[in-house]
Amino acid sequence: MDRVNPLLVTIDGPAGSGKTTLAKRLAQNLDIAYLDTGAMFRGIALYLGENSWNFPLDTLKTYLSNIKFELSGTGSDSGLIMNSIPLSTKIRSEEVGIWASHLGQITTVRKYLKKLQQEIGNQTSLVTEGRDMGTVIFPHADYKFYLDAGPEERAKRRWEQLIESGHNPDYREILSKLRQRDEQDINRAEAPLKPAQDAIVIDTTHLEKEQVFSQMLQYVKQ
Amino acid sequence: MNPSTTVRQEVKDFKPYTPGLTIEEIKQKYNLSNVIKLASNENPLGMSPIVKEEIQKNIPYCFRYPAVGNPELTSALASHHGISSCNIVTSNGSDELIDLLIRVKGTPFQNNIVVCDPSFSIYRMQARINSLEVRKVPLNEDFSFPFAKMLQEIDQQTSLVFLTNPDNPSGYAASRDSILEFADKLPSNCLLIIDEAYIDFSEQEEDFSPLAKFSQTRNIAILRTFSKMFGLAGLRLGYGIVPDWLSDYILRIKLPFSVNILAEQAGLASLKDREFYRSTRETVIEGKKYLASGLEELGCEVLPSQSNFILFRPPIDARKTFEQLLSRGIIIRPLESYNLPQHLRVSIGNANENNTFIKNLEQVFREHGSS
Repeated sequence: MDRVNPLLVTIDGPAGSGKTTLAKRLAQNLDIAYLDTGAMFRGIALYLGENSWNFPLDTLKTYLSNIKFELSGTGSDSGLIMNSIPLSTKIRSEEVGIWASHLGQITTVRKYLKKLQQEIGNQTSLVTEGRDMGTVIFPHADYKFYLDAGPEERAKRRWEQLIESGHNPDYREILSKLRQRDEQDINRAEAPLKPAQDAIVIDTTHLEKEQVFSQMLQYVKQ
Repeated sequence: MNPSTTVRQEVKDFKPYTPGLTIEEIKQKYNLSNVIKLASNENPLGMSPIVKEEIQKNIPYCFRYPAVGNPELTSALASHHGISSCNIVTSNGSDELIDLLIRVKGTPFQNNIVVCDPSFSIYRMQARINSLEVRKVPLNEDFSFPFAKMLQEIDQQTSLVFLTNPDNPSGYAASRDSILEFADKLPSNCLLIIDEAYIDFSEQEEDFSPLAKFSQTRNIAILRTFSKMFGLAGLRLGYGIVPDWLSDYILRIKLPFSVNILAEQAGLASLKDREFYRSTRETVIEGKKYLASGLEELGCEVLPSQSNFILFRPPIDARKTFEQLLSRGIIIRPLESYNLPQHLRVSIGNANENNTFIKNLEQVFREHGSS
């Protein structure tokens, strides 16, 4: 659904607040695209390759300028296309994840991705989620949600997810890692995790997923 | 009679190759999560993303045979160096070309080759398997080439003389003029092979390489590789710049498809990607300065290097230094096989790797009896 003024919906919040699931469902229901910004980092990592985080900055800039993204499809059929080729499942490997996290620490890379994300948002209606989507990347989004939940509840959700996928997780370990991540997200100097001033904040601690989803949908459809 | 009794005696004389531990084995043995390899003079930046993309684009064409003699790459290399295509031969790494030169120019049981000691083992191995006598001349004390002594060893039966310039493992490089002067003194039937695998890392290429004067020479062949500067070690791509009469003979016996389609396309893309060349050179030159001064501060004897590695002599036992670094997850190169048991060679890594290496080396020296 490409319009003159694309519809932009952002969802920010801490780890385990249910952003990804809800963003995908919302995109599906509104028949617009879901933009997976994490996949963009991973795509770039796969393109640049191992050791690319050691490139001199001007070299990194030169190679980044070769990378173009398009967003196609809607809802669960949304997909990113990098340099005319759909991003493959190769970006999901643990190794590419490590490369992406190295590259994500470089300001030059984050700036370039921000520009690309904004270009996509200028052309395509989308739902996206992350840590700074409503505050930094799309400050002019039509709807900005900030999902929150108590750390114990978020840790419990993650624990249940892992149990379902056949793992044997340790709840206390999950909780302590999650608190650590919160601490980092909230206190980092660049784009700290916080709700945008005009964000719709939903505390999901005592809500079922279904309730959160219908609340969000109500806001957007109003 | 068992068929193994007819295996050639030259082959029986070879010892099996014993590789070092892999990164995974080292991780397991020393219980490490991270290992840094500064042992094989590989490219510290990995490989060019543009070249990687080009390789991926060409995967669907792998069902085809490559064009014999790689005419596209040959002509790109010719224009890159400003020489004629008849003077270029592409090969499966420079190793293949070393073997081809030996087989084209050396008659078994008759000719000999002259090499420095220590020098790259493939020169000697391929000569032995082709039943050529190998004459080794020790390097000078300062690792410079023993030109006068080499001339004494060279006779009418010497078909090839090998020099690695810049040299491995020392990093020493002889001047272009001294090499040209040496070539002039060789018997008329003898060819000088200059293996320039590391020339791209030298301060000023024209000070060391006779390539710019190639058209004025008659008995020189230059070997180059895509394994170091271009980061394509795993694809096996090299080439020679050789007199035209020689390229004709080499191509008659070379296996026609030894350079595969992906290697050829990667080579073509590499020549166009000046950014990767420039940034690799910058990373190596800066890293080399950092490592040289760091090693000296720690009391090591450091040799000046025109290459992407440094030869040094630690103030404590070299083997112990190597093993202690290994247990901390840093692999460098011990040099017993080069008959340099008191020296070590470290490849120039990226800034993080170089820094980690120096920090750990300092700890090793502190814990094992040196300042």
